[in-house]
Amino acid sequence: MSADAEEPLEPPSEEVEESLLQVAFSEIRDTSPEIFSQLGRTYQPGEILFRENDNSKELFMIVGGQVKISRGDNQNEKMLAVLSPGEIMGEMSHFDNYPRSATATAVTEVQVLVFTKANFALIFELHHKWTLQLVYSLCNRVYSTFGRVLQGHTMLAAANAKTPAGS
Amino acid sequence: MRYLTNGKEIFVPAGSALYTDADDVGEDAVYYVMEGKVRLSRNLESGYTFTYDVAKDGVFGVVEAITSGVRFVTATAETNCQFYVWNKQSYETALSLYIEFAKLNIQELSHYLRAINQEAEKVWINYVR
Repeated sequence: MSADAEEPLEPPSEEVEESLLQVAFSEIRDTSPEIFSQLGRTYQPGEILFRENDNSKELFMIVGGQVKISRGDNQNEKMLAVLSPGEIMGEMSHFDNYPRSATATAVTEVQVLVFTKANFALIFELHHKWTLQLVYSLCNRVYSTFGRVLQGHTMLAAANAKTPAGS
Repeated sequence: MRYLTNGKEIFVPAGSALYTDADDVGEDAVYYVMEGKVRLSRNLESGYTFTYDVAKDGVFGVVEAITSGVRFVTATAETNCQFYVWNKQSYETALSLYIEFAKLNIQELSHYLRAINQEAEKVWINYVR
């Protein structure tokens, strides 16, 4: 299922490890300034967190602001979702090693916690809430995206019904 | 595999439907493919059929169990199959306890989401034409 073999993970520094332990055992949205100073990043509106087809593998948790997930280029952009604080993104490439399937762009000023593979592996092993959060997040996205597929085919069927045969 | 616990094994012959689109998610909520291959499908209003195959060591049925409680695809055994099946609660317990099972689920869901994203893109392209 994954695109390539797992690379060996560099262990995090002591300071980062301390922050990761705090993250693992705190509520998912709780982020102290100490944790943010180790793991946080801020993006301004319009800045790109990651691009479709990138090979980056970082995983992001939104602490503040909103992030747009879209596919395609500027002329042909299709918006897939707008994500809010508490939501996790970038998990697909993080876990299956395929390139990014979409582009993430800051809609407002955005604060995120950024996890490398090694960092996230540590907190993922420590606390099951992350497991459930990720599975729930993916399930909700599959469900809502499939809803859009259904809606699209309903519109397509209606458009086909209006188009005279042979035109 | 230690995560195959608190559920049950079932055998299903090729061609049988495990569940059908619009069924409620019952006690047999989430399936792990021990042997065989399963096709998830949904006939769409335009006449197109969405399909997604799940092979050995794959997991399916999770999305409906976690979200709406209603199946949105039909699952059919393509070959003779052996499954391990959980109810929702036992599945969530297995996820919490076994990190390798959690990773397997996240990989399968990521793969499923990529496939559905591609379908979403295709239908949009067809519509704007």
